[in-house]
Amino acid sequence: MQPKPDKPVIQPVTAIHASQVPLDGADDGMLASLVANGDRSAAAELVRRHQAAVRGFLRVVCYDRSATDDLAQETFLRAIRYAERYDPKYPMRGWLLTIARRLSINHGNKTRRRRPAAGVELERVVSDTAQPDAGLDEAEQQALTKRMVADAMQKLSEPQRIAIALHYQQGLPLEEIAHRLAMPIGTVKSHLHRGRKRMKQLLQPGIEEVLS
Amino acid sequence: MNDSTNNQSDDATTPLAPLNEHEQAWAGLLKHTDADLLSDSDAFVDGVMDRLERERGVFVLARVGRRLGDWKPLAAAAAVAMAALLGWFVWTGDPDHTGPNLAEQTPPTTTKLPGTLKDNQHADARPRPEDINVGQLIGDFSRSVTRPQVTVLPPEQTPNRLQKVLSLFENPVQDAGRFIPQRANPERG
Repeated sequence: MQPKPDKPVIQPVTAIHASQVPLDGADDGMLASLVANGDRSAAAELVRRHQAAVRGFLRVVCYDRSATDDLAQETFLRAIRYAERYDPKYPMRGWLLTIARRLSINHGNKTRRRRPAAGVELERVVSDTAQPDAGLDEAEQQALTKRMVADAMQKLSEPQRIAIALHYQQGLPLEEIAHRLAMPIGTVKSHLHRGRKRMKQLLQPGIEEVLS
Repeated sequence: MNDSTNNQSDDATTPLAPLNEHEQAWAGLLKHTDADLLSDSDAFVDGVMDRLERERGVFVLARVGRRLGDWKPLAAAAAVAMAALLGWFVWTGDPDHTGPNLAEQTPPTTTKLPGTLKDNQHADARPRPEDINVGQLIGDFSRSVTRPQVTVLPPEQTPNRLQKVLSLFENPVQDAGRFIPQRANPERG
């Protein structure tokens, strides 16, 4: 009588265990499939790989600066929970930014009443940076200018702000933005055009002096 | 400064105009990655993984739920089970009992069949057959069905009409005129 062959060891799908696969060269599709099978190291690698993009995106599009890291964490938690829904035909970053955008919109809807009056912060920053004897070094000057740009972004409409962030900050192509936002490419271009025009109006008084 | 954005078209086929100098300035600032995003990346990753561990129960339940598919049959089965359990408690009348346990029930102390006069504790309170007086029963029955008796005077004590008239002669009624009816028209005679 022949001995019974050993049963194949089936890894529990719900368990979060350490990966035996080298993750450095793994593409996003493989990473997502490992995460979907409960691979903890793959989940950590996914977060490490895309955290700067997601956090930077949220800092631009989210009204509440203090909530950006919480929203970024929630973005990755959702991505890990629903990793099997990731479509490897598209870059992982666009999928993550779509999740982050939805979370940001939901958070903005909840905290809209507590939002400070638009433009107040921007005017104060512009007046500070426009003073020639502000006594700021180059790093401080750049930080203030960056803050001024971020505040100007907050004055855009939501579709304009998200389109500009996805295209000019994250570098996503127009086709993918249209896919992620579920709108025609022409509409994406329209939002970009109007957003650029509005940014010019908002930043013209102060930024030229700073950037010159 | 070149104001290229004023000539933009919304047409999907028209390429987006390149950024002018002013726009490149603020777009470059948007692209610039903050130093803290790079410096505390490990702390951020640890924070996400810690939250993942804390929410692992929810994570597992969500996965199990998705594997199980539709939750409605499960909810219906749970509702039926709860209703059956509640019905059992109501039927038994004792919520401490979790099910039928015949071994715990005390067996009957006597093997005699109930229903005999000797075993019936109420039998002594009832008259025994040998104590029943048939004559008394008949008498009681007849009294219950006869009409109530009226006191009848003996015939010699019963006044008849003639005796009443004679008694009037012996004892004339005082002021009898008041009993004579008055005529309505006395002049007609």
